Amino acid sequence: MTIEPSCNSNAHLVSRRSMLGNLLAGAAGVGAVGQLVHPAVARELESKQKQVLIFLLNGGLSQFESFDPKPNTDTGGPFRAIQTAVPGTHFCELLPYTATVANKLAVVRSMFAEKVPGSHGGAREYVVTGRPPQQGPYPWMGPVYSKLLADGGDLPGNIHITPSRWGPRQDAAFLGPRHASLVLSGGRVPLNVERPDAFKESSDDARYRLRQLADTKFSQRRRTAHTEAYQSSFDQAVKLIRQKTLFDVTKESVQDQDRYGSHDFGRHCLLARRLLEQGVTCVKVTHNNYDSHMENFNFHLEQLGEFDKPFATLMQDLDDRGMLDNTLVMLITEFGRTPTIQPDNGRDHWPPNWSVVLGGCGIQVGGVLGATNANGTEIADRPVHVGEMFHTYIRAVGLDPTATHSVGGNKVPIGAPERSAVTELLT
Amino acid sequence: MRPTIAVLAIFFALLPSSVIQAEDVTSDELPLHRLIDEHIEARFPSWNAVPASLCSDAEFVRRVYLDLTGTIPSARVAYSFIASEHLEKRTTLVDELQSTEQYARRMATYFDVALMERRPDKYVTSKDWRSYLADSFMSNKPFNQIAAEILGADGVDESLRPAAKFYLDRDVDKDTLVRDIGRLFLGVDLQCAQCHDHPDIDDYLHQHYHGLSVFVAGSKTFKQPDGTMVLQEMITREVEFTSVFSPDTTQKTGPRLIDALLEVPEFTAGEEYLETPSRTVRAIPKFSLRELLADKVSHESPEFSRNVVNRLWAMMMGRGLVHPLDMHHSSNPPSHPDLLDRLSKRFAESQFDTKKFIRLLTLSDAYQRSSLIPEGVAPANVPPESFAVANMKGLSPEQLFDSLLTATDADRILAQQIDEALTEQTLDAAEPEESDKLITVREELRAAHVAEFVSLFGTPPGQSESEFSASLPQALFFANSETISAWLPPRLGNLSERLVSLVEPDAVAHELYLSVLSRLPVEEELAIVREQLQAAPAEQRRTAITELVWSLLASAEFRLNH
Repeated sequence: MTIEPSCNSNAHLVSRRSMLGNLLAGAAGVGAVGQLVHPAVARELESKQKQVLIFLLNGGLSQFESFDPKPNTDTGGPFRAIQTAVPGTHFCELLPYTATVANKLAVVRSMFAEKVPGSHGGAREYVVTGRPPQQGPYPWMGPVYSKLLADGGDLPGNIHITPSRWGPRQDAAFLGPRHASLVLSGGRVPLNVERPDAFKESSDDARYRLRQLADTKFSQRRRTAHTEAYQSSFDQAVKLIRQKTLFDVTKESVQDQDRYGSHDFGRHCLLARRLLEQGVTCVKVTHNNYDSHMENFNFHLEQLGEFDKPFATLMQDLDDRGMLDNTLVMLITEFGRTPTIQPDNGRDHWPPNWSVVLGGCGIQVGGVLGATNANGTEIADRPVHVGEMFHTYIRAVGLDPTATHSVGGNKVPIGAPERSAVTELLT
Repeated sequence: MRPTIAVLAIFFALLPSSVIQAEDVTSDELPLHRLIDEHIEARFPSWNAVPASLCSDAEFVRRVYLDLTGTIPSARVAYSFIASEHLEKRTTLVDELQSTEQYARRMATYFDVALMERRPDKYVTSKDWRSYLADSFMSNKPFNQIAAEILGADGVDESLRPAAKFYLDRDVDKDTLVRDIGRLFLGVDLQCAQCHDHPDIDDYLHQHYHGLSVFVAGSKTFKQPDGTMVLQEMITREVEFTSVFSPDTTQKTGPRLIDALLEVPEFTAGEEYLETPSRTVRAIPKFSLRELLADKVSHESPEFSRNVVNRLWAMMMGRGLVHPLDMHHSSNPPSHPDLLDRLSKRFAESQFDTKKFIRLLTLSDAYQRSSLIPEGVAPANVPPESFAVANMKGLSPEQLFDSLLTATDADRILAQQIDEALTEQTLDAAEPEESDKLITVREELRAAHVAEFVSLFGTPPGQSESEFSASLPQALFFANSETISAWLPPRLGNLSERLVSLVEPDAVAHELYLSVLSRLPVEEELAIVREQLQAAPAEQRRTAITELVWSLLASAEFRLNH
């Protein structure tokens, strides 16, 4: 028996020249802006709290119908490619609004992972932990950011806005429940924020005070590791119960609600903006469902039709507010879809190559990294492993992915130790 | 249901004042609990530790109920224990509790979670598996026999089929099994030695991983004609492996229990199986490596005894002598090396008698210390590994569910909730002849309530129990959940209703503190209760009492086994 040497990435051997070429325009732009910023202001920006916005396109976004179009080929499907804000870079015509903010994005067209589990859950876990799920469980990105960027904060560090009927997932693994995603199912307030009939709002102060009294007494002369964690979870809960408006998008202007659209995903994007503006460290928005084994083209027409405008609007808004300087944005999916088009116009799961999009904080935007061949059946340039991307996501917000989590006496590397960040993508 | 002192006092008066045999004396050796205390106390100077005094009866009764039966004691039991003047009442209580079904159930739950790590059911139900474990603990089956039954299981023999859950519900996946057999039976996490020698731990070698993998490399699932999934075993004698750091050198190993390389008898080619395996004939080798593994681990492996002792110690003491539990290696020595050696040896000599071992742990001062740090002592001088102060443990999801139910006395409310769910399901099962089915459905509905606690307070599937942690959704659950709002307000004879019927504030306080925290209130707590009740207008009294109950249920003191 032999084992697949998974620690031996061929990515290290590939030239970085292509990325530099692609990024030329973007890099020049960043340089120019950099010179305009006063050093003192730059320092302030540097020290400002980093935030993260994750879009998960659940089910497996087709790279052909989005960021790696192959029109007029045997695999390309019926849609055209359109110009974007970055000369020479084309997106599928299903993303007209996203195309206008392409200059705020970096596209990676050569994502891959090996031995990806056939299940969506397993593949997704691979992408958001940077490690094969068989080795897990490892914490997902949201909990990792919560732990590294938001430990001890008043607000939940990691909020997940999901489609309806999407329950909480235990995604924090060994980082502990404190860092698990707070799920807003269907964009609604979290479970158990509403007070039951047994209690009156007027008596909340009294019952919380009584509880606090009990804790204060118990905590005297006891080890603080347990009691402080417990106390702080209640502090957070009480704050949240009193600030339910944090989750209320109807508090945003009517104009903004119109701009984002009245459908769920539009509302969720506006909610994401609201949460980021109020200081939540990591916000993830899941958009369902791209699993197009049949009718791939109609599926993507419909799904991306919903996705495109709110996403582009949010990118624009974050930029206008100066928030992109401190907010890392990523658009991820668990795998791509097959070049081969099935008889019923479906595309199946395809882990050998797909596309991922980044923007904002720490990212060299305005370019494309990696490439697939003419009809998208394989990677032609700069393969990027999901484990390398995980390192990149961590590095982009100024953290060191080669450092370790401390887990009850054990040290666990933050990123898979055999991988490293894709420096071409980083500023 | 208004308890009076007279009623409360009877329980312990009725206990037999039997002669206490608090030791497993073998000739000139110290009883085990004295041995523990000698070793623990001998290390105090190295931290300048000042040990906590022994815990009060109230702390003891709550702690030992949680540890041995999985729930807090009722107010009545707590009070009669505190009030009892029986000299040996702690020992008597331990013996009493260890003879109950609740003890077997608690041990079954603990080892289910330890061994299956909350994986979803696949081929063997949790129910069957837990009753297998509970029966084993009820009859105090030697622990090495349990281990041998699990590691040697093929799932065919009806009576031992549940033991095959360990393999089957992991899909007999080799890498998962190597990791989990290493961690859970031998105390070594070899996962990082899969592709090369462990990068950080010198003791964990690439060959250890693959040596262990030989035992299970040939094992696969096999679907019997009746659809039952069982195990079969293809002939495997050795595996080849290649370090990713030297891809040109291929190594081989036969079955290996860490450093012990084992012999495998050789058969003529074509005669290795009882019957030639095929798609319809299960592969049964004449010599089974899985049986070899079961035999060697349970009878000849010093690592096994050390690992079990360390896990039982951690279950009772809140932290292993080796910490983390699956990190036995030379650069992570035990906090008390000689003690672990002695305990492991004694445990093996006692035929792996878990009941006796746990009993003797509870009799030690180390177990019976208070969790209160002595006045004026810096926490740094009594670190968790000193065992100078009792280590607090978070209640497991199951302990929390049962304790909330006990504290609020909400059995009848839960039964009503289950009835309502039954009606919603419009079951025909209400027919008399289907009463078995009805019981099953009721059990499932109850299990669904527990499952809510598990998903909120438990660790994710495939993950070992972690140290205590607290999350926002958990706090929100305590603050506002359906469970809290159903069990707390006065109705159906629950705690709050009992309290409402008490006139004197001090009587309310006594009953409240005994019910929720298993102790009597101190003066400042009496004052809080008086104030809360006197400030509330008559029509608000029910609400005021519900709030008091809530404030103690949501306190750290309730959430922790201290």
